Amino acid sequence: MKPLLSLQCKECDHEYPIEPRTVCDECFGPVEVIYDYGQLQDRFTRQLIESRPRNLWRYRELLPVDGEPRSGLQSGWTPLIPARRLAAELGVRELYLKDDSANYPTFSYKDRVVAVAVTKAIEFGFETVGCASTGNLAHSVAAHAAAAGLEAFVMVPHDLEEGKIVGTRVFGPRLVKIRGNYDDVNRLCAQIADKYPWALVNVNLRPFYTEGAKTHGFEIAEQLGWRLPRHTVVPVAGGTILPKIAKSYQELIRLGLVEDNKPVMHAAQAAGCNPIVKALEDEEDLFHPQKPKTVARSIAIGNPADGYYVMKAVRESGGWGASAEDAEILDAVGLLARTEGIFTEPAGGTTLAAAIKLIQSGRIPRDEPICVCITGNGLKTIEVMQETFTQAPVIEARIEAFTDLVESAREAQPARQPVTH
Amino acid sequence: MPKTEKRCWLTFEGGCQDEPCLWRMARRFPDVVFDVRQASVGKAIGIMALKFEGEQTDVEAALAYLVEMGVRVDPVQGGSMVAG
Repeated sequence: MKPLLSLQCKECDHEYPIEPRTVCDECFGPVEVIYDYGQLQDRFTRQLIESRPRNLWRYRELLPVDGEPRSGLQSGWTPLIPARRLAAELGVRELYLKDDSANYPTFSYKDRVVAVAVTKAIEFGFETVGCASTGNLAHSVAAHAAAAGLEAFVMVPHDLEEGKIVGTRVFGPRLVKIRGNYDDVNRLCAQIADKYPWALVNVNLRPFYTEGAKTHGFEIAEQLGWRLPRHTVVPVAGGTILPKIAKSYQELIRLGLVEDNKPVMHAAQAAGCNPIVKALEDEEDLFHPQKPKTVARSIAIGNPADGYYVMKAVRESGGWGASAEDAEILDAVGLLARTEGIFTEPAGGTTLAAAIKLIQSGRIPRDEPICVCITGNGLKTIEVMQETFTQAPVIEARIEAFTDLVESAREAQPARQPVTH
Repeated sequence: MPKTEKRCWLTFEGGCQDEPCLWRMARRFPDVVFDVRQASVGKAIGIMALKFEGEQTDVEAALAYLVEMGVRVDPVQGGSMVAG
């Protein structure tokens, strides 16, 4: 019988057994985990999934692990929110937010990919894990490694926000600041991975790590009552999550767990770092690496490792891409917070701002179901939002002073009306 | 002299995609053997995956010469690895 799992080159289809491998020996193309779906057809059912605990491991048959999960037993199953107030604001009929800003334990979608990568690292016998990171991955690797009792090395750009440095160091990894941007850090990590016997999750465990991102898509489908949104808008940094959400949708269709509604994938990037969106708009086959300059630091990757596959997934689904200027990104962070009570980081603002552009341009019809993927939490990057506010009023501790303040505010701005449905 | 094998992604853009960079490298370093494994070349950008073999100093000098000509050289990240 064919093994349930194997690795296959994305370019030349050469197959390999499951092993710590990232590229094909024949053509140097990236390898990807493939599954024997025939074996899963009757045994991976909605009933089985629904009977399991509400975490990302409820989809374990479609994740590349052999034994019991060793990490992230509380990760995943984040809220899928029907965004009625935001939908009214944008003039669309059906809008959902998949909110990984509430993911456990480090409040970003990275807890999904790291849960799978750390489990796989332990299965392969690695004792040290690490990563190249723009912040969220650093948090997640450090936290999951601490909980699993593994050593961790985390490499970040030297100018990473202080909140992300502190939020990583608290878990006790060796954190190293590298002079340069994320792409420089990533290049160094490729050399580190060749020299040291470590599992750098987004470098030499990449084929396994990226599979964890599929759980974001599985959850969207299950939480929508086993159906797919017609349009999914996803941020693009290294290019992990968008092709894997597309893969998750196709796997669910193939296994008969959802109907095929021809789901469309759309890419969101910051205008200051938009190699993929630019290549889509220019209808080029290859993207040009860029030097990032944007407030959306967590998605500031100018040379995305899986960028080509993002373009492929977007094009094959009939989707498109949009990029947002810094001011639009921060406006969208504020809009999401004011309408839905969700504080996302600039990456989430980018995704929403791009979704708005895609709606306004008609690429996303207003009457079709839309899901916007929110991948990180705003509390990690409060400094970028600080500048968007004026000083809060300071008054004496007297009720008269408070009443004066409220009355003058009422005169200046009438109270907001709640959206009713 | 120790022999070496290096696997690299080469990116040609910013003008060097219109220049015969590999031919020039081959002329200057005739003992460096290179093998094209994958290539995608457009008008504005070209990307190739190559394996280089030869004396370590020759291979490193050949790669440095490509960089000097404006070619971006990135290592192919690992084949199969051993945990430790």
